[in-house]
Amino acid sequence: MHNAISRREMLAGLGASGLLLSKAASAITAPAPVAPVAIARCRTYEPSELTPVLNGMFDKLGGLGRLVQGKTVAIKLNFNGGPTVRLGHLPLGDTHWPHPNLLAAAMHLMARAGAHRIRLVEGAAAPRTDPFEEHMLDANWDPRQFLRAAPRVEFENTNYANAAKKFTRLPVPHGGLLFPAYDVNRSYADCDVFVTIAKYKDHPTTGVSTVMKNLFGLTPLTVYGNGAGKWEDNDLVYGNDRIQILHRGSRQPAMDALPEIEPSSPRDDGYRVPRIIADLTAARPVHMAIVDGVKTMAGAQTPDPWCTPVEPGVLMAGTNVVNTAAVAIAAMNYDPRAPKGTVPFERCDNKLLLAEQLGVGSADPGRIEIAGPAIREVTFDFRALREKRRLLRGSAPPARTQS
Amino acid sequence: MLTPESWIPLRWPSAWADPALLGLLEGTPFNCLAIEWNAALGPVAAKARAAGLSLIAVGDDAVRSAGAAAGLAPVPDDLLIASDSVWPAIASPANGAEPSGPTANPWIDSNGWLLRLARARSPRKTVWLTFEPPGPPNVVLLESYLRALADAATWGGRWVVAPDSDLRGRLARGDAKALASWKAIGSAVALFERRRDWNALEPLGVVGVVSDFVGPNQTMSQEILNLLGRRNLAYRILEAPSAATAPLAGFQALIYVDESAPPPPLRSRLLAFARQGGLLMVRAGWEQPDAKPTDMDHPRVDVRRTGKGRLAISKTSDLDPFMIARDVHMLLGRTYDVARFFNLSAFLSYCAAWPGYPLEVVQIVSFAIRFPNDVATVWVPGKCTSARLWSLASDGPALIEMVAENGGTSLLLPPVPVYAGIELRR
Repeated sequence: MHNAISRREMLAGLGASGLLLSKAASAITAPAPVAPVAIARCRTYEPSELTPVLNGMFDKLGGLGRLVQGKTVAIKLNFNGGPTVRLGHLPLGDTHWPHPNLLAAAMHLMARAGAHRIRLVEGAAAPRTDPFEEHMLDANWDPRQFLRAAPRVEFENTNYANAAKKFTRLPVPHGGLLFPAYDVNRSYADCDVFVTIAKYKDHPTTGVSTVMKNLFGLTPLTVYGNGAGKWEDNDLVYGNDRIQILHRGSRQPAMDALPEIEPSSPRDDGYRVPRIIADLTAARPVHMAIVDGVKTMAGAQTPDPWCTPVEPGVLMAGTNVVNTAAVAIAAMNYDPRAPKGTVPFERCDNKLLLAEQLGVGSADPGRIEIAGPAIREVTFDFRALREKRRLLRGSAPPARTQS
Repeated sequence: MLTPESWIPLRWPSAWADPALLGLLEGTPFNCLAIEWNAALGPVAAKARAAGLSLIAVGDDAVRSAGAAAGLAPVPDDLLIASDSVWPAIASPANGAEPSGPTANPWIDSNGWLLRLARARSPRKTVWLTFEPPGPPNVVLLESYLRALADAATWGGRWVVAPDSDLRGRLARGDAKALASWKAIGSAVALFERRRDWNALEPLGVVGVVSDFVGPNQTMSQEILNLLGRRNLAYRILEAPSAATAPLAGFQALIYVDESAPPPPLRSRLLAFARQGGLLMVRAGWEQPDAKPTDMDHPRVDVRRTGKGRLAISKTSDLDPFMIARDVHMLLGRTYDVARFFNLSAFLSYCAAWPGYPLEVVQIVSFAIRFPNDVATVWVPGKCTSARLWSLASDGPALIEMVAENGGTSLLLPPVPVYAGIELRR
């Protein structure tokens, strides 16, 4: 599945691929941390199956109680794309947003384990005055499902400073790869436990999107989005992506956020976005990463005519986000240590290796203890579908699959 | 003698003086010619009259007088012609409009709100729209004609079909592709005529716009209707003089932003609505000492609690109808959506119900440029026993597959390039 490689060999490979880090980051010499990753088969989103499976996974990771008891938990959702865009007729939770039943089950188990407060956080492309719950309703989710899942539930649209009135600066340890610090909604800073939950799927810019890529959305659109700084009353989000500032680097962030470290660095998003993600994994440590692989899609981050809905029927969770992402990517039949120019990182640097170098976690599944079935037992062959798409390209996109 | 209600109009091109061109009407439902009279049209008029077609004089006063003198019928009192209607389309910078709004949704020019208002104010009248296709150098595609028909029919009006100069010329020459387009236009007209009974439906909507819709309030109130529609926020129209006694069942929010304060009976009614749990949005200066402040931090409205409901008082006298539509939607929330739409990027919708029957209709006019080939989904709250789709792709309805989702029903539609009419049985 993956290529075992020594740290010395890896660094040699990085040198060849231009991945070497700044002096400060490369000063990290300790082996990147590892923590167990739990894997479990789960065929449906029925709570009767989902909740005990998830509970068993958390138990294998040492139990939720030690992590969340008496704590404020922030769960970063992965609401990529617009809430009304579906792959065919499929609800978003079956394709590219984490399924609401999985989210509710996780919240329920956290509440049962003593979590004091659970805050659902996401940079939703909605006006400041729109409650975040409205964004969920737009997607035909029912926010009451989450309010019922735990006693104290809050919703926060992190594209705005909201009640805090100003953003909180998260410095990147050791100086950062692209930015020295990121300004974010205070919910990302003042939570005791930070959780990322996401599907695993392909991604056009960074090769693969999982629990790590989800952190890209920590960056508020009002600071890092296409329309950042262009609205006087800060009430409307202009555009819903971060192409200009983060992907292309065509201008610097708004609202007094720190500019990037090296403005002469490549303006290529295959260089920039993986570094931003690695920076964020270091700046905002993750306590629990949950991969939704019960149903997802292959082919892209958000629905397009090349996407295929798939049902791998698996869940993964871990306390180290890089470890968890590495296991998830390996279970997609990709090599999580693959260098730039190879599948699945054909046109981008490998964000896992970058995060590994920042000391966040190991991207080597061979070093990671798996609790549950082996990776090969749950592998779903995204790589084969990728090859199939590659062969099909050049002809017209296939008709949308209907459910 | 046909009445205006049954007239299916075509604007007869002034240059079509050859009576043989009346042959183009064969196989189409057109039974009424709107003619801007000139003497060269005498033979056409004679032949059309002999064929049983109704002939109506249109144009300026002098032309209409000349037409009447030549035997054309004047516009009857029970026919309302909306001459200020627009060619329905995504607004383009070429016509001076912004190409998109602040949330990146394209601006749509539509006559939906105009028809809703006309029919609310004159429920017994037939409404014609007399907009014309954009002139050269624009190329008017068949799809654009179909959209123009749908934009009128969805909201209960009729477009006086007017081919553009290119289509007129090619039809007159017997061009095969033009004739195929003409046939498709005729088929679309026929489809909408078959569903003409949907005009008896009553609009669904939880937001009420209360106004006299005239004078100093005309622009603001009409633009609010336009922009509520553009948000696909289902609304109903309440004319100010009669709103004081109109039933308010089913409303969750009312907007009253006319320049003058409402007459006392109307003010009492609006306040009673709010106190009973509704949301009332009003202009700055609305005096309501007993309304209690809330902790809502909103840049444009002061939200106060009154009884079981809320009063949203504008913080400024300089009202922006775009923001009013957006803010009422935000304050009300999407919980009361009468439908939700997926994979429809630029579209307008109209939801209506048969009074007293478990039958509803959801109509969609799509102006999509982003996902025209995507399958679409419409979600409605509650259960449905059956759903049928009327589209321009077939003469009759097709059954729609339904899936239970989030306490409601998802209706699985094919792509909606121009129009979908969904008939729901509850």
